[in-house]
Amino acid sequence: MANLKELRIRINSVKATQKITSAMKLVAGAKLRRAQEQVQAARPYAERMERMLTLLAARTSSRPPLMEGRAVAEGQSARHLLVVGTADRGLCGGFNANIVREARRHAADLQKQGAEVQFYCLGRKGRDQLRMQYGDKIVSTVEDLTRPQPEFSRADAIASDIIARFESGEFEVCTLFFSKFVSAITQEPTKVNLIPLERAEEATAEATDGATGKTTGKNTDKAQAPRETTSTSQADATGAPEFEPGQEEILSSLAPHNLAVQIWRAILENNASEQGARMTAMDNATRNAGDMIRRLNLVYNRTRQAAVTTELIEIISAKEAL
Amino acid sequence: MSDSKAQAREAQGSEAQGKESFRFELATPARAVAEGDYGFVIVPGAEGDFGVLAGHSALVSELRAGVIRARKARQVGTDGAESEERWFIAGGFAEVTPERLTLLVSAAEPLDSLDAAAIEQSIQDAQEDIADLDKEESTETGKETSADTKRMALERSVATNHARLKALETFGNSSPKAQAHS
Repeated sequence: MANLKELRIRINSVKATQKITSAMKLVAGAKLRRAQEQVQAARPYAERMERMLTLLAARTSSRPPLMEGRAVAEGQSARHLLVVGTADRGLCGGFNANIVREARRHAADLQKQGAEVQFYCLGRKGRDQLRMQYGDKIVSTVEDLTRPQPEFSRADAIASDIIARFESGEFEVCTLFFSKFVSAITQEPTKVNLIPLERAEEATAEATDGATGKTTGKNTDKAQAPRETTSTSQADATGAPEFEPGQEEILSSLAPHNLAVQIWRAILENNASEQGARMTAMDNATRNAGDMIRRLNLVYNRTRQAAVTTELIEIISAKEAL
Repeated sequence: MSDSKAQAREAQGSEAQGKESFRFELATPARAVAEGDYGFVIVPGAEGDFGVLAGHSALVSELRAGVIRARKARQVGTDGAESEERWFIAGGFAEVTPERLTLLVSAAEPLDSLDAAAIEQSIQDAQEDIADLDKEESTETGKETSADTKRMALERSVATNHARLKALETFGNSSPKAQAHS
């Protein structure tokens, strides 16, 4: 009869788990809606920023090193900073693992080519997963970016920190990893070049190239060509604008700001992706718990019936023996 | 070049049926604050304030801390000062084309929401913090960099708050809502 009791305890424990997972699913759903709204609301600013940057970059011959990147010093290996945006918490399926895997692959490629890598973690889970392999390469970790609320000032502070590191010569190339929000069930781990800056028309060329992690010098040479073509098409459309103060001054203050906006976007997209991934994962968990309860109930009822039958047989045969 | 501008202005004119309005967008990283057809907007440019009407020549400008004043399209001609929308900004960027004005700012606070007493208080707090930092620095000079960045942030916030106060002095009292409050 101990078996029956054990089964009952097991069923109750699975039921309790199911309650938790279904509650988490509801919470993630509510948070997802808010996160999605924030992603939507942030879009106009980012788009206009992009447009302004394109307009300026097309007209300016000397772009700040933040956009162009910096050549690797003679006889030195290129140094890359990988900014890895993940969540602070788990229980969201493969969300964190997918982003980290992408970053790991990129890091391995770079190391194969003799480049040095450093990690800058946005989110606790990324640090936890990278610590085993790259413990001494993690230069900084930022946590609690979305609690209680994603704030642009945080993104701005992170960008300033990264820029300060870039200017003090800690690295030449900076890449950002995060998960693009496609839908509640689909999130896309994404890689974006921050320094030198990757722009829309280059992004496609970059993608076909694959993640080969070229040195800075090559990258800038290639980037030059598409920029020149945009400059002519833009001039036809709007006429040459005036700049106050000069274009180079505007560009040199716009470029760091753009970095902050890119990081801000990554934080928001990541937040929405995380909640979406958690919702899906918890939905699956709830369904699995339901299946398990049904199976356990079947076993429980069978065992109980068997016990009843045995008891009856015992009583009847005892009576007949008299 | 001037031809294309004139054409653009003409096109704008016929499109809007002679209405002298242009597309105005005020966006912060978090959200779009204002968007719509406006008639006249005054923008605090880095090298002086400038007013934007429909058909303004193309311009890209950095912005300094100051006040954005915007009037809706149909209010031009009437005395628009009554229904003027005002925001305080700490800085940002502006892109002007003949048919559009785009302002990208890190934060836009409606002027009515500013509270002079609270701002003065936060200036005082920040100045006290700076004084504290100075004292610490004289005793221990070990972690200079973190103190320096903290100090710079504080000084920046003081400067912004002074700009807020100045904006309130200049415009705050003339705002109809502020009058209703006081």
